[in-house]
Amino acid sequence: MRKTFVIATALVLLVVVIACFTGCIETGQSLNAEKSFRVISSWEKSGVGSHFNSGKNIGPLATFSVEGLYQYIRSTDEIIPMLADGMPVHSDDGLSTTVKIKEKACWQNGDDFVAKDVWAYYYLNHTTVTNYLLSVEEVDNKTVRFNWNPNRVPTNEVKDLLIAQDRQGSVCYTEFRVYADTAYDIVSRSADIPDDSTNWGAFNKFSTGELLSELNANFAAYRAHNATWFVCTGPFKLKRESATQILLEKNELHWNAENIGFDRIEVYSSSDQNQIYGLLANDQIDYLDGLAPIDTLNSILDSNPNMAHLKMYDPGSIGLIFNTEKVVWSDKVREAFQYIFDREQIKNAANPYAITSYYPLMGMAESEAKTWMTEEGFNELPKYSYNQAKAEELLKEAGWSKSGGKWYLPDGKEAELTLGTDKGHPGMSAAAIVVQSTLESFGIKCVIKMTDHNSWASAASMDNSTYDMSVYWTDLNMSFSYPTGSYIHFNSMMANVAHVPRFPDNYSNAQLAGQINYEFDGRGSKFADANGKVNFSTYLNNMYVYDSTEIKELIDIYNLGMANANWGIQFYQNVTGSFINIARIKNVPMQEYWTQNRNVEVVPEVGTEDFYEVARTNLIYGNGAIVTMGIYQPNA
Amino acid sequence: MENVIEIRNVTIDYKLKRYDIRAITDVSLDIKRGKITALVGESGSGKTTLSSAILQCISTPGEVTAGSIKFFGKDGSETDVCACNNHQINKFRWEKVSMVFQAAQSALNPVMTVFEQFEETVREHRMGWDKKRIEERTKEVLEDVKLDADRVMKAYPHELSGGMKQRVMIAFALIFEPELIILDEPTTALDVITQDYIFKILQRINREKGISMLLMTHDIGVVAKFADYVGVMYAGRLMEYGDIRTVFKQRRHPYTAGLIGSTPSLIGSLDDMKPIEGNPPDLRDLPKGCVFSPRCPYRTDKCTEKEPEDYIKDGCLLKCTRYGE
Amino acid sequence: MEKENITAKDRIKSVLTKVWKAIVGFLYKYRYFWKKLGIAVLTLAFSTIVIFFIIRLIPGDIVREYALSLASSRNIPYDEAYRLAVSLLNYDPEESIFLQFFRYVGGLFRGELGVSLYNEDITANLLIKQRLPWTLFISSVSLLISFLLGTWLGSLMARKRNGAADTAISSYIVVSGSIPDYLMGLLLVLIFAYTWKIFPSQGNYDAFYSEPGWNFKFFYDVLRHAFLPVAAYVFVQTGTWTLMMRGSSIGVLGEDYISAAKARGLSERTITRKYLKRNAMLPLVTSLAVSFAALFGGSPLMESIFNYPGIGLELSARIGLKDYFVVQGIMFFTSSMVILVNLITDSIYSLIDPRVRKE
Repeated sequence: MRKTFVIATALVLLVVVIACFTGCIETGQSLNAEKSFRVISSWEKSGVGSHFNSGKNIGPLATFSVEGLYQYIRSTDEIIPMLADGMPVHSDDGLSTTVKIKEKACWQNGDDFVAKDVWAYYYLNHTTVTNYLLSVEEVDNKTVRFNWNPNRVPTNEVKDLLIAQDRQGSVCYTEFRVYADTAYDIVSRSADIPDDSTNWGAFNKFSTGELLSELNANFAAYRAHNATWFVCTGPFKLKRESATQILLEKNELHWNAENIGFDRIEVYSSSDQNQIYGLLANDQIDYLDGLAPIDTLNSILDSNPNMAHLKMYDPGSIGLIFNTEKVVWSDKVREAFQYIFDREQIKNAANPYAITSYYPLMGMAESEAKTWMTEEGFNELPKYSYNQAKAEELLKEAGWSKSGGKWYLPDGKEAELTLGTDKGHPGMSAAAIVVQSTLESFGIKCVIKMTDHNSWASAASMDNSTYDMSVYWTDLNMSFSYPTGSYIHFNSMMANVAHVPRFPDNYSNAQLAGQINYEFDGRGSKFADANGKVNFSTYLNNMYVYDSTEIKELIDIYNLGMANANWGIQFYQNVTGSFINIARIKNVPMQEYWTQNRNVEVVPEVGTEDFYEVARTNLIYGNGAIVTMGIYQPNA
Repeated sequence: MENVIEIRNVTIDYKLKRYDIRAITDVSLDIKRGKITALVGESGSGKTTLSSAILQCISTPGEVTAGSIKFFGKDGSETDVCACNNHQINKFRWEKVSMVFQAAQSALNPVMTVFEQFEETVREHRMGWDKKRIEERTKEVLEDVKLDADRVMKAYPHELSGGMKQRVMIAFALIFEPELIILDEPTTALDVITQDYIFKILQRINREKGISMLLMTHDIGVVAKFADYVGVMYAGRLMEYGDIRTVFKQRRHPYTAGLIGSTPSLIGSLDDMKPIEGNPPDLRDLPKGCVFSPRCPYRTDKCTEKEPEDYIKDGCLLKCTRYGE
Repeated sequence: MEKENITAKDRIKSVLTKVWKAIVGFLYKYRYFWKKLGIAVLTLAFSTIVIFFIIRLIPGDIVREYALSLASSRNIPYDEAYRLAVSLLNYDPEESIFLQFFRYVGGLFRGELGVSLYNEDITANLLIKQRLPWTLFISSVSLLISFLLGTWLGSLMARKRNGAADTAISSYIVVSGSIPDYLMGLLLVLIFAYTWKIFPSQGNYDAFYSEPGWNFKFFYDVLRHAFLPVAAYVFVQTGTWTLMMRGSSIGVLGEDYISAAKARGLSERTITRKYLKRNAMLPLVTSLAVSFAALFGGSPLMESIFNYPGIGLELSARIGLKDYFVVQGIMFFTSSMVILVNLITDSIYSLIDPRVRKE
């Protein structure tokens, strides 16, 4: 026993001594001698495979290794040439666009990146742009031409965005020759879509029956192909891969190798959000996107004096969506609800850095609405306030009655509403709780059901859903800001939650079957039909063809129409952020702000220079462009 | 005749949390060398406690609080058992004095063979015997108890019958040729025929090897047949002690008379059997004076005043006022 | 001529009868084993069916969810993401469930435990091969240490009842039994990895520091990363073993052969080692075997805290992705392991305890 006691004491002393020597985080010059950039990501742990479309989650390789001709930055729509040399050149008649490829652009195995690779990419991957194309041509080794379908030519801005959205640097012709040639062959043999048809198809072709199955089989084979190297052109090569870490090393052959300062990217993984915050606080990673709850944010910045946090607009708003299939939601009642909530309070509970919105669900977030609507149109948008007295008045007009502090429906039953939300989203769940407590103190019983995203989505979208309302994104743009993005997402996601009326699945016009059937006021514009109305689905897929001046009229119609339809309440426009290690990385934007206060609370206004610079720091918005362009440099 | 064990004024207390129980009060006893001494008494009279004291094996929390137990070896050495330390007592146990337990069923380790257990004990005592010698000695002692050595050595305890296990225990006790073997009710769990068989073996061992034996039992018949000396215990006190003939013929102590009189006879009528009235006392609440007085048919006032002394008459010890002057 | 034929036929007949008798005799001799095996197979089949159907009860549309995740990771519009999701998934939602089941069972017989819906290269076999060794490494080491430590403490408590050791260890058992293992894990990570920075906070080895292989650097790295998870497990599990061993030991100490051994002059050390420990441990061996079988499922919570790439974490990730066939495969594997280990334990118990020998 004595022996064990002595050994135990010795061990404890040893631990204490070691503890005293392992110090806290150093601050000071030259912290990044090894020139590394440490990030967190998640990827397919059993192996990332060998190309972008294998169906495996390639994680950090998508950020730092797979490039396109251009990189567009989400939320600002900035387009930065990557493999391309300069912006696309549009012909005067608008029917063709030429893109030149950088001389130095090459694959990581040394082969040149050529136009044939772009050609192969498009015939294998029928991305959105191919719906507007007749063909993609190889003019010469380093020149590609896109030939547009005269029946639906998008405006030039949209053409640029569509091309920028794709990752053309993911299909190497020499590697995928067989599949690319086969795909081209099948597409060529497929029938053209007749001019008067409203159908869509890649390269204006429609593959059916046997051809379609051949096409699918070819795609499956392409997907399953295992190359010996990871097929990409980017500035970083996959060096080492384990289940918990990935190491990327600088690709010296890259077209911008001389300007890229980092030698390696160290990628960590974690399945636990708190663990990730811990890594930040411990100075073990240099970057993380997103916000953290305010206390966590402050404690991370306190523990790690090298960390700063910048904020930028998220192209989306969070709010309350009404399930309009429920009888309770008459027009007056929905209007009344717009006044019940203290939106500022909800915003503070959910995301203190966000921007409160007093609008209803209107098809896009406030900052985007301001950009894309006409000034008069924007000012016509209904704006609400926090006015519970007004709400009471409206409810009474709707036939509701209040007695004993509780509200009763017109049929005499006690008012009780079920609220659903995604428990995994901290902003939504916090907002939902405030909604519930507000309603309860207002006198309306409210039951919250919080589940994970997938379960919520199924439960909210199904017919006879149990939810009367949900807290979720009311307006969200998944890709570039050109307006269709948020309307399309509304069509596929939020409209189902709101149970907006739709055309039946067997509708005579196949193009409209299953689409939203709701008429907006045409505002006397050229877009209105004979009845002066515009149906939501009519222009949904055709907005690209209108240039930015024409489209404002259309957007006014849609936004005002959706706002007046009152399908939901916008609580706030979301703001997200990025944590950046300002000591190890040079040239982090907003320097004049973070030198004063590392928690930069200023959200750059739309269109300012800071707006573009800060959006690039968010690697989800811009991938690794900020590193590839050489803006970020290691503090070596 | 020499004594192999001298117990002098021994008192043994069980120190429990709230009170002490005096299991043995002022007992003095001699165990004669080469003879079979029996200790009889009802359950709870203290026989096991006293005998385990000889090996310093009293179950916790019991301890010897007064008196001495001395062992006298053949070589003339004298050992104060109670004063031995751990090391000394481990040497003493089994080499000088060994014990055969009451329920041999559970006295053997169930997961070791018989030979393994013998071997282990030998090694623990560091006798310096090599494996061959251990095997030979084991065979010897097993044959002494009339067991088939080859079969028994390799067997596990659960493979042997009750009688065989008891004989194995006796053999085990013999292994170092101790000077005294304590036998605590060795045949209680066995049938009478096996019982007789075993006692004949014991008698033979005693006669041939001169090993002294201390036999505890409550079976008067066995005592009468096999013992040379007998001690009668009651409530932790030695009531009578003497050679077998005298004690049995004369039955001087009232308790002894009661015990022998309550034994059913093979030839007499059951009506002749007379039990002793009353129950043995609670050791926490003993009667004043002589502890047997509440049940004694001959009690007088003198008996309830104070405990009687040990009176010697014809070489026998008697703890009764009737025999005092 | 005829006579020879007859005798030949008779000889063949007698040989066949002998063989038949031998087979039947063999079957009869081990009839208890066949019965157990039969029950095991039935259990396995039943669990396969139940798992298969239960997983499909999880709500959610795989295609839609995959599309959403593609849209947000690639910054492409939702409808393009949806088309991509359809082409990438090898899953036909229209296929009848029973057809899927039979196809799955067919695969089982070929040794294929399940293919991922998201990529054909990812199979349950691959995942088990990659992840199971890490899980088993941590779990078996902790099980072993906590078992040895627990039995030692338990016998100590039984021998020195009402002493200081007894009280101290009892308090430890109560405390460690109430703290859930993941909480202990978090605590250890906080103290040792974040505050004192002695041990790494996550992972199974540092890929930037060492490479897998038979080199000292790698082993050292693995051990360093394994220390905290093992410590957390051991802290929490030791209590159970201690308690069990204590109970068993007190029972054994009361047995006559212990006092008989004492009377024979055996030293306390010998009695503790050979008599007390061995006999008291016997009932614990079955628990040990069952605990070992349970290890194959991994512990998602602990693995998540330490970001240890074990089978538990992988399984929970796959369930979240609703990767039906892979999940089935892994669960099938886990259940078959549990059943197998139980079967083996039953059969070998008689080797350990001579009292339990079946004819």
